[in-house]
Amino acid sequence: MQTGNSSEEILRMEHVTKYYGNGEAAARALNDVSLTVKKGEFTAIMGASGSGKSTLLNVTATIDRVSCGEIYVEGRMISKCKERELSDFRRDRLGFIFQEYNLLDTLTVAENIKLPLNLKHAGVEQTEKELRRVAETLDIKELLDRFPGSLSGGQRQRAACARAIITAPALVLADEPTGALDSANSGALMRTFCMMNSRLQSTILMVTHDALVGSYAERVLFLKDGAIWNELRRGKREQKLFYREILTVMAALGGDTDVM
Amino acid sequence: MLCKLAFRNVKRQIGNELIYFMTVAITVAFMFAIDQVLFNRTLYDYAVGRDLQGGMIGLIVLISAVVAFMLSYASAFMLRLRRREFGVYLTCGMTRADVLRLFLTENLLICIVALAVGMLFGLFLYQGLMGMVSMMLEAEFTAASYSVKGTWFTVVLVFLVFLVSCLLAARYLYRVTIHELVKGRQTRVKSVRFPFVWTVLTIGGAAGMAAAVIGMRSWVRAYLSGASTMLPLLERLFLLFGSLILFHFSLAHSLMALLLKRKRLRSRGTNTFLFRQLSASLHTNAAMMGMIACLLAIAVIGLDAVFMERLGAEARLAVFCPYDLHYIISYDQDDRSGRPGLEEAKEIVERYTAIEKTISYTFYADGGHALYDHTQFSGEGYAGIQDSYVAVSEFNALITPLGYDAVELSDSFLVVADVSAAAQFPDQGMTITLNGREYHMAGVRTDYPDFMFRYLYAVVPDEAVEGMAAQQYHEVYELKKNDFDAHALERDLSYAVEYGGRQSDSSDFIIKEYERREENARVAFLSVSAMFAAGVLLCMGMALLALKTLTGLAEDKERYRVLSLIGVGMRDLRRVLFRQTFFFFIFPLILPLVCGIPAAALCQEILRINHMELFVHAAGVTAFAVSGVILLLYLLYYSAAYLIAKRVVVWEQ
Repeated sequence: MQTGNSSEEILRMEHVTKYYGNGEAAARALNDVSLTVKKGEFTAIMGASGSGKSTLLNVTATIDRVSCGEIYVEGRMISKCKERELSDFRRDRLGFIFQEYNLLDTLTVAENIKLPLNLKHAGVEQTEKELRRVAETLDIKELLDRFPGSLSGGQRQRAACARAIITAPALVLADEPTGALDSANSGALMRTFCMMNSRLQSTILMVTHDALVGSYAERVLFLKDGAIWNELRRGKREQKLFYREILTVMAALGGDTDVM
Repeated sequence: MLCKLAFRNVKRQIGNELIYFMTVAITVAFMFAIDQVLFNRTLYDYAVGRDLQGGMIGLIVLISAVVAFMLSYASAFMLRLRRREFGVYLTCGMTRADVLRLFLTENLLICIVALAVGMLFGLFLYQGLMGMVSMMLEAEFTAASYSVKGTWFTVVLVFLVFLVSCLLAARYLYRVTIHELVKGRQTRVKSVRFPFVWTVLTIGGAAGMAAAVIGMRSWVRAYLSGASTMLPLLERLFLLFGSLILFHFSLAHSLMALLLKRKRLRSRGTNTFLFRQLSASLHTNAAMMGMIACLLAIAVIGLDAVFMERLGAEARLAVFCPYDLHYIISYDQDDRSGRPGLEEAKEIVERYTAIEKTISYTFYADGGHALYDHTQFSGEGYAGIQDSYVAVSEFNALITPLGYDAVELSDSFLVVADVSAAAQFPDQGMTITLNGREYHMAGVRTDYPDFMFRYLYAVVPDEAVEGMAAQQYHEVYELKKNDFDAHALERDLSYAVEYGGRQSDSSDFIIKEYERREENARVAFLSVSAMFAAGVLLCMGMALLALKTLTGLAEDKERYRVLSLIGVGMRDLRRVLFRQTFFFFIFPLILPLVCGIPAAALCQEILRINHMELFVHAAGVTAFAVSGVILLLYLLYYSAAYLIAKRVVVWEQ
């Protein structure tokens, strides 16, 4: 496995291009994308439908391959790893949060959260300790023995967050995490993300097309036709102000924006 | 339009649901072949007869009813697999009646195609079965002709089976809401409640099975000693199958719940996922598991019993007909008109084969029943029964050519009895007085072949029978060859008698070769019937498991996708899928296979009690072979289901 340069960089993409299909039917989903995400950063990726946001997340998550270019996570080049290495990498260094929660409905919440540690063959005591820690942090202690089917969307998404961070991953990837939630639960989830980012130092890369959700991030990357079109940083600004700025950029981008 | 749509759907289904289609086709092939055997004119005349045919039609109809029920289960799975599609039809404006008609039309098409394919297979299977029957009957195999009656019987039966199964499955379509069709039923997974109670019930089921097996063992002993009827066996079989269902039903609820309680075990890798997957599928299908286990146990025990019967038939022949030909005449039967005389009968025999050796012996009676008084065959209902005696010199002449040691008696007598008469007989201390002289009992033997066909007789010194009235005269013969037409000889030696106002054939001869062929024919048809029943039950059981596995693939695929996302590699995914599907498949099979052990042990016990030790080892080997073949077929079916599951669940990730 090759190594990249900066130790502060969690994610680095270099000239990443992704095509779907062959020959004349080939469609370019990512076009020479280069970006870096530093440790502890909360980054949102926004753009219109078909702009390549999900593709960018998928190639970072190693569940899809790039056509050309390199991707480094914690300095390790993951774009050319073998399947076995990639699954170990996903298990050990990545955390996932999806729109449809992706909790296993046959497992209790506690079992769902512990699963990544079980896969790492962590000891029973350590697993239970980590479970208690994330359950307390995300305030889901009372949900642990329940099955996902009996939880609300917000509760499920908090459980998914707990599963994503229990292994203390280098990078948490979130794909439209509020897509199936109402506005109240969306707001609560975003506050959870901020807490994960500030208290647990989680590095988060989130794809969303919702401007308000995007405004919780410190940095927003806008994609258009598979390429990075613009970038906004929140800095010291208030969230509401940042939100309006995002809306403006989205309007200029000509994309579809949701206003909560 | 409806027909066109139905035709396209079926065409698509044949490719997608090969297991369902092949199961139906194989079942049809079995039914066609067995019906052809049953309605084969030559076999009917030769060996089947009206009674056996009636019995087998009953068996086929019974099996067909089971098939109809199981196919309805399978059709319901298929229906659920396509529920979204049916939901779309309804949302597009089709009426429920239209959808029902579409479903029935599709099934009719499947029925017709399966019938055609099944009958095509059946044509060859029938010839194979006939080859096997011919081998058992030791007849020369020639390509058998097909029966129109048998074909119609199959067609009617298959359509009835389909109609019943479709109507049962169609109830779902009639009742289900469109929302449920499109979105699927929102079932919430729950932990198994009261695992302790289920564990207790599992132990109860195991205890019931053990009690049934122990009960059957004691019944065998009681039955062979004449102290029991067939009813207790039926009770014990009901207990066995009932306990088997209870065991599987409750184990399906308790096993995974218990495993999930073991923290260290479940925290290893994907174990929690595996246990939860199995817990959900076993919990949902607990009743089906119990039913399949019961049917498989019936198949295993039935096959074991029939193959043991085949061994027993050979052993019985050695006991019942130790010599090639046996002549017997009772002197208490006065009316001998119409019977061929002994010399005339011998001339008839000589026309078929030469007689090489003749041994004659006579049984005598003194009118007393001192021996029978020690058996259950005394008192009311046995008023006319008399003790029988045979001279030791004649007896020795009879047994020594068969490899038995000569009996030596001085002032003593030897009781030869069957197992039931010997059960209550005193071992020693008994005396009898014959011709004014007292003789002491030397012992009781039950291991000699049957020379008299009564419950017991005594071998006494020659002088003891002097002056006694002859009761039966016997001659046994060794013949030069045995490949003569035994049925023709039996006909030639038979004479007509009136019995209960009806004319029937009787004979003073027992022809070993004829008895062997008759027994072979009976066992051949029993074997074919048992194989048919076992084949169909096995096929149905495996198909249900396979279809249930494949039905759950849509949900499983999503779960395995999540596993893959959180870092489970392809190899591990395959391993988990293999464990999950294999355990689900093997769950209802293990105990039915194990049932073969007590079944074989019981058969061996029966053989031992009847002094057929030579066949005891063969009985064990037969039971092992039956279980082996079933396991092999099972694994083949499993492999097909696993490969499909792997393709859908893992490769498509």
